[in-house]
Amino acid sequence: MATTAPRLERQIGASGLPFAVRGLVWGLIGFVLGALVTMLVRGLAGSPAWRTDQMVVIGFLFSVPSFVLGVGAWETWGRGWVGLETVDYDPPGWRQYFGFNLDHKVIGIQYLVTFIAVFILAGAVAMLMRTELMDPGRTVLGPASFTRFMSLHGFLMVLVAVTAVPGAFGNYVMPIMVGAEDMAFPRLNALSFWLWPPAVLLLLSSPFVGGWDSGWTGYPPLASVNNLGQIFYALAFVVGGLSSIVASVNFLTTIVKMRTKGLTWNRLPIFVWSILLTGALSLFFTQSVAVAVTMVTLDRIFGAAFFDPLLGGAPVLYQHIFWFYSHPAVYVMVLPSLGVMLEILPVFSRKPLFAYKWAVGGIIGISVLSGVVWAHHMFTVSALSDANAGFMLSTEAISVPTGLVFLSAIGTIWRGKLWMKVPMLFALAMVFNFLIGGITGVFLSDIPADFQLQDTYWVVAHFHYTIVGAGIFGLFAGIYYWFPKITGRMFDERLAKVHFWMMFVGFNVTFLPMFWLGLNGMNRRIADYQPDLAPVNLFVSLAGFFLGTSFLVFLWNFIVSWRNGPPAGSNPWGARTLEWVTSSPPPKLNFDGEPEVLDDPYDFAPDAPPHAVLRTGGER
Amino acid sequence: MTAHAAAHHPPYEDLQRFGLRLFIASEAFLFGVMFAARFYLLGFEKAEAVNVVLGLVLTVLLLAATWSSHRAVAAAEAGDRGAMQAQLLLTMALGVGFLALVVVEWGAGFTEFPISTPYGSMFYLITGTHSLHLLIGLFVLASLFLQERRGALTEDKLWKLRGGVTYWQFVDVVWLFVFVILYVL
Repeated sequence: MATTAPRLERQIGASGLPFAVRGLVWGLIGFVLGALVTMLVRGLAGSPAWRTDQMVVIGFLFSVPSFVLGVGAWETWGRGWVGLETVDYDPPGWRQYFGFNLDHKVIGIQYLVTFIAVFILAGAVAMLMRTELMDPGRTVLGPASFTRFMSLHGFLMVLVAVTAVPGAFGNYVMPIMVGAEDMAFPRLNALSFWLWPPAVLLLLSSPFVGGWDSGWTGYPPLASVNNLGQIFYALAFVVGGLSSIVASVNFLTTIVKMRTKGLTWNRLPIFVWSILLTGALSLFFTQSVAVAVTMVTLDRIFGAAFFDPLLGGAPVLYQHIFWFYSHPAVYVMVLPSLGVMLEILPVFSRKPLFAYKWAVGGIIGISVLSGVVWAHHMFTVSALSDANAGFMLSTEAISVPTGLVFLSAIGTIWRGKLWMKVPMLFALAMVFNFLIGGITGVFLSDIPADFQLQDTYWVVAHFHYTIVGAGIFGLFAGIYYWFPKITGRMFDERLAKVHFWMMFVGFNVTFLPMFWLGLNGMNRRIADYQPDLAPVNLFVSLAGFFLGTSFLVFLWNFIVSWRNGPPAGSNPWGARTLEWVTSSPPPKLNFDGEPEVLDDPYDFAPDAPPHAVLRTGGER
Repeated sequence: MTAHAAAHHPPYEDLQRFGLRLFIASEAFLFGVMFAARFYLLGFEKAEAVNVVLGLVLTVLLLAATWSSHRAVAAAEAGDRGAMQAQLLLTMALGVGFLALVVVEWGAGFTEFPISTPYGSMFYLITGTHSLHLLIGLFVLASLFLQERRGALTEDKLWKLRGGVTYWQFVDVVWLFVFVILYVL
């Protein structure tokens, strides 16, 4: 290019403070600037200059772009907007993780580590909640703090469930599985990650302004009148939602446009299918929740009338908009994990994935139906509405495509030669847990039963069986399955098995009794309960602590094995998909050669051709 | 990511066009949800004070901006950089004029249909979201203009212009729906 300006020679981020620190400083400056602009405009309009909630909202909206530019987006991206030469952020060593790095493998690790940290924190909050619930009446938190910690736990965990598997493995593994050198839009990819730190930091600081007490669902009218923390929740939802949308554009474009030679749709690994459909769900529905929480925020800071009945608003409107996103969102939480499960089962059963096309159809069917079931969260709100029957039917219809996914899983294991390594244990546990989660959901989709069960611990148990039992177990299945690929090292098998059995047993003994508690009328989201439920609650709390301890075992193994584990080799599980054809960890652009797909990804017959080969040098 | 130039994926413009279409589909959901909320909350009710003539002027401004942005792309493809810059400037001027009129309209609206009424809430939410998108579009056009002035918008980078203009035209088209839904119905 003749017109190129002199290239920036300096290596950015290779020394001095990490760029993440500069991002925090710029973000803080942006916040102050936004708050000052708010004061200025208010002063010009003749109102008192200081108004905390408006200043927080405008300040945060200024601080997010400043933060992102500060962590390195200015050098790698922003300079291009004003016609200057850009320079990539690619320092050696640990520094590569603390700036606007464009490598999808770095971004996958950033997502993985960040959301494991959030998961551990939100889990610690759950331990606090279970301490309060060890006996009836006031224990350690009291009713007001309990609802706030419940809200924080719920929302942080929802973020983990929505983000961790697509963020970590969708970014790290998926591009390699499709034989690409990176995602379609590396800068958007880095943006999608770096939007998260401001959102997470905001939520973690919310207890200092009194938190919020309306749960992860944030219904008005409560959400219109409670603490400032509610606004932190709304802002985090909008910024996190933007991240999801940006990431989805990237996932879909990469999968549709960047598959390597020979990777036809019916040879696509099932995990890639699950990321494709998850991306489609996030892409379309996430906008809806941003509208919902924005409307609440406008009600609060500008006195809008959306949800205030006294001004002619309609609180139920919020629930429609919120669940129009948030029901599809539960499939965003679960589908990638089901993809991980179906990816692992054939490898450790040494059999083809059973009914591959039906499983793909199941994933598509779940995604399509998930858009037309939202009002089943509102049966008791719009009681006797004629539409309820329709929503009951559409909800129950989802069990059909879900059943296809199940049949695929069971058919794959059926008469296979099961190799009980840790990823397989997690995948098998998912089949078990998700069966319980699915069957107990049928009761909730049934209107008369729902009238009894809504807002009880039955609901708590049901969604933990689906979101933890499938979603989070899938996260750990993926961590153990791809750990050797990502780190190049093997984890300690014995400790991993200890983690698995503690987590699997701990999870089931914690949440199974909650169905009973719910049937006996224990309300969710409340710090107190009837005295006769005390023994079971004590048991559940102790089981919960046991479950919590299991993650310490995981953390120890994760950290020590990453540093000192024995080299794993490129394909420790004998799997066929493309990520196992390259080295562990893969080189900078993923492959030392041009990948070409020749055959099915799950054909384990001894004489089957390989799924893919790398063409190198002269063959190209 | 210059290292990726030789990879085996389709040309970057192809990826960019596909990604932009996805993003626009997502944005259509954003406005669609707000339009649905307007009918849920208000049915076909509207504030009689809303100024349809002003709305019509705003519509004409954005239709003109759509045309001039189209002319900018056509000029660039014909190699006429002078005309392209002129058309980009004209498009931006029309956009700034639009935003200025929106400010005037809001100033009057705050007394006629304040934000504390359901119609006012919907009106400021929808027009505000639209104006925010238009502002982002203006930044994109300004960035393209700056890149062109600095000689960075070379022949092989014209996909940036096409993409930016596609987004701009999407925001213009959204306005037609906003006009019908808030001013006419």
